[in-house]
Amino acid sequence: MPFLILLLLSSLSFAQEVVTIKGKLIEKGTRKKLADVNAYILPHKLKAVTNANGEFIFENVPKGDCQLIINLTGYQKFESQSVGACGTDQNVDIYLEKSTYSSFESTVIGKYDKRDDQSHTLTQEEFSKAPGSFGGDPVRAAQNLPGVAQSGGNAQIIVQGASPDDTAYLINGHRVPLVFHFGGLSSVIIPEAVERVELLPSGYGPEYSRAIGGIIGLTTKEPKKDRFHGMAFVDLLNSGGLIEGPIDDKSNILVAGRYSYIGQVLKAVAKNNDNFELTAAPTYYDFTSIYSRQINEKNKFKTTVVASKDQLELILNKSANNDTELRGEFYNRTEFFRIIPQIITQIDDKSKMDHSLAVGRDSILVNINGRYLDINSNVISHRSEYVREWSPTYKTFIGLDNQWNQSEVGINLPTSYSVGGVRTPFSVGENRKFKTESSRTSLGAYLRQEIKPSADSKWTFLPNVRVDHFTRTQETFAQPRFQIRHQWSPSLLLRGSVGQYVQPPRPQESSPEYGNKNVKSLYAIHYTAGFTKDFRDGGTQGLELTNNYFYKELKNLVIPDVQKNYTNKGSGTIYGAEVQAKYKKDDWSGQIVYTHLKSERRIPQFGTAPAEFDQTHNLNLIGTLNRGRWNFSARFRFVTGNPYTPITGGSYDSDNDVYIPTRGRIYSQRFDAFNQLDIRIERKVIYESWILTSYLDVLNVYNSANQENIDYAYDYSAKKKVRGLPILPTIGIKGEF
Amino acid sequence: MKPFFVLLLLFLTSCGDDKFNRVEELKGFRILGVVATKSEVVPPDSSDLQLIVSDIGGGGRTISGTTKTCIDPGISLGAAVSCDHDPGTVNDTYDILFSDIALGVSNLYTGLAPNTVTVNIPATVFAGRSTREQFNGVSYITIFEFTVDGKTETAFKRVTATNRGSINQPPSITDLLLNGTPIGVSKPNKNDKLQVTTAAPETYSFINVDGSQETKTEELQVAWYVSYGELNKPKAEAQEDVKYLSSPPGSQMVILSILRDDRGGVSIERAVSSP
Repeated sequence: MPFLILLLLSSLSFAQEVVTIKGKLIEKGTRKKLADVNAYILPHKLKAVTNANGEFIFENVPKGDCQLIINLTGYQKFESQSVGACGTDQNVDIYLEKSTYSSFESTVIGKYDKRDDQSHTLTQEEFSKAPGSFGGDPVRAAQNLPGVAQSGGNAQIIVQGASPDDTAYLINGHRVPLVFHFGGLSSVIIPEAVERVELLPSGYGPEYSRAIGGIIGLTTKEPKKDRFHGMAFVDLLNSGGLIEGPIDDKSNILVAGRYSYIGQVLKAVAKNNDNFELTAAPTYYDFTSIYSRQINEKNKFKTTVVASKDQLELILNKSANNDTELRGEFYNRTEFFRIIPQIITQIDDKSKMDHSLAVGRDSILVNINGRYLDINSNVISHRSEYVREWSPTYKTFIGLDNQWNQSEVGINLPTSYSVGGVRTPFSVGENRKFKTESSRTSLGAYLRQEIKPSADSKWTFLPNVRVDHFTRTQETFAQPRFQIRHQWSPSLLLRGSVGQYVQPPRPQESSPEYGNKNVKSLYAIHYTAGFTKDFRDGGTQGLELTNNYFYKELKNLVIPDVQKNYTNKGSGTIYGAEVQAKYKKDDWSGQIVYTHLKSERRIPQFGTAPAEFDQTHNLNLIGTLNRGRWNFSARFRFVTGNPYTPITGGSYDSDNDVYIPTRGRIYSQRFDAFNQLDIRIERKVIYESWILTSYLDVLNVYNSANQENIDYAYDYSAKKKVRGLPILPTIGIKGEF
Repeated sequence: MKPFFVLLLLFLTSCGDDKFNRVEELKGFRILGVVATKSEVVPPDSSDLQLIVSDIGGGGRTISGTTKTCIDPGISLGAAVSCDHDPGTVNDTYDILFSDIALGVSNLYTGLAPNTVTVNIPATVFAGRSTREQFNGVSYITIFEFTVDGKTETAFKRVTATNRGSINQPPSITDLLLNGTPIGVSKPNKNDKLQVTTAAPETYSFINVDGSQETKTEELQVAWYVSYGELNKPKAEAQEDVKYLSSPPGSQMVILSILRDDRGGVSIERAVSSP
């Protein structure tokens, strides 16, 4: 009998023969290993959890039919075939496809400490899909933000009715001379290397200065650490690539570059144009590299290298603007580079130090038929900041922000007087030829304080101060900047600020040879108030509303002067309101961004007039739909036309064979209102180990004939409107692994 | 310089047919230049000014206007073209007489107006001026104003006082060539080349804004005009070829080249074709 029982048991164990099913769970397209994911085998109700490497194992799985099921939120459900799936031992790699993919999947966006309540930030995920950004350019996407003017062909960002030169451009906190390649279609750093772009409009904190309009700051990303990733793209205007990954367990690196062949396009278009000959196709290229090393538990080192070059050469057969001097050979080269090492020390859980340096060179050469501007500058800037949380109610930020600039400038150019956007022809100007070497030092120190009356208080007071010293003008400014914040409820934040902002004159304005060495710095007083109401109840869907009011008094503005070249006799006022309403529901998201402002300048002799970018109404409607592998986005803009100064006639300068325009009342008329629709369509194809993205960007979809300027006959007896860019489609593909 | 690139892009993508009168094509009344017997003087001295004008289709009419002569208010630095600032302004009248019979046949009145206006520069012109300004020159301007067919034409000419020691001599055109040979009474065909031959440019001294003294050579520029057609380079260097881009007219035409030496010196050469 015991023998029979043993035989029965033995036969039963043969009937329940088992197999081992093991494998690895990988995100499709990115090869990211998916950890802590539940996998099930049915109908046996077996469960396994993936480890850090995405590996799972089922042992003793009854041999025969079974089904492996993985159902992870945010991913498409995986179900294996059931017939014979557990017939033998298996070792399988399973690629799970995400429901939606962001633009560059290897990007990790770190937690960002937003200091200024009135600042606006776009992460890579946001700017890469922004319509009108022409391939996801971060700075072009920033033009969708509240308070940013429609600048047409101006390759600068104009903030809240300020002048273009009143905006500073920063990369990792350090100033760079330009942010756009020519034409303003593309910024000087490849978008995939940028973690975020931040706009600091009026009322910004004490960390920055020397810009009375606002700040545009780009922050480079942290290179990926898990493995090597790459990206390459090609579109109609440029192509480029990026590679990033770990060097060892503490270091990681990113290298990226981009080259534009827009010149070849222009050359083809210009082939039959008698007005000029392109002798060398205009090009631009840029290079970015980031090296990051976790030195030890407390210290982290990061170095960013950014380099950019634009070049154009042509021959103008006919004088541009009928200005005799503006013909013949034209050559322009603009280049700069910055090496920005940074070391961040987490001293303890309450305090932190951040030191960074930027070393670089700026070079600009413009040559118009022998008249030239040749600037070569060596630039060093330094930032240090110590942050300490002394108690739950008191936190300080103490910092230094210094710049040193040593320049060699060669000029052989006529003076050019310009008021109200109407310029005296170069042919008429008095020629100035000189070569000079100079150095400028700007020293800055700041104290930011965050004070709460009690740990649970809803009020935060920020009595900040900044001190700036400019050697060029021998001026020192103490600039109080006071901010206040009241968390009315968990979803409603009220805020306000008042502060002083200073900006040194431009080098040409304070040049003894070309400008006026007695010109001093200009400054502004900013007043802001606003609120942010979050209707999302802690979720991600719903409405978020931001409203800001601003008032700016501008003093000591530098204006052209017939006797002294430049003086500080200008002043101005800017005030307005801006609203940003963001709404998200399921696959849809939308934004309404509206700015209403009035920007005026007072110039003795010419009186009070609107500023160049006084755009009363600026409305952006933005919509995005994410549908699986498809992404659709659109932007509609309506903006009041810019003011312009009418030209009422011309006087013929018989010595220089050119007409000198006669100004009407400055900025007394306006261009037609601007309206434009831009769309972006993106489609992803997800392969197991890489992703192919194709995209179509169309600027000005319905070919709106927006007025950018006015063209005049040689004697100013007739005029016509100059239209902006017509419909401009760009298609491109991007592969990433 | 960034806006330049966008203007270039707009320039490229625009249709190019702006419907404006071309700068080189003579139509109606125009002032094309002012010739001075001396574009530079050592004060006290005087210079006689004579207008280069065109009045295509004007029928040989006399056009009356006014002149004002005064110290240059600083036009090169941005001041408006006006004599309102100078209480010593000299006012006069100026009549343009078109008496050139040869051109009158086809109503192509173009050339030097016979009347002159005299500019007297006093020795006091240097009062209060820097050494550099006295060396490089202090200008007097003469503003001409005419109202023709309801439209006001204003032009001005500088006469420069200098203590440099040597004054500018007018440039000269020795010949006007069509495809390398003297043009005579020929009309250019499409894509024919127009050229001028000139006397050699002068050299002169100039004090730069940083105080350095530089010897410069005049840059000779030619402004080309035709009574019919289009040119590829209406303004050109003296040694540059200029291409005539149109088919010639069936009637008489005039071609005018005005040479400037960048220091106020002007010379004129005119070719009148057979009908």
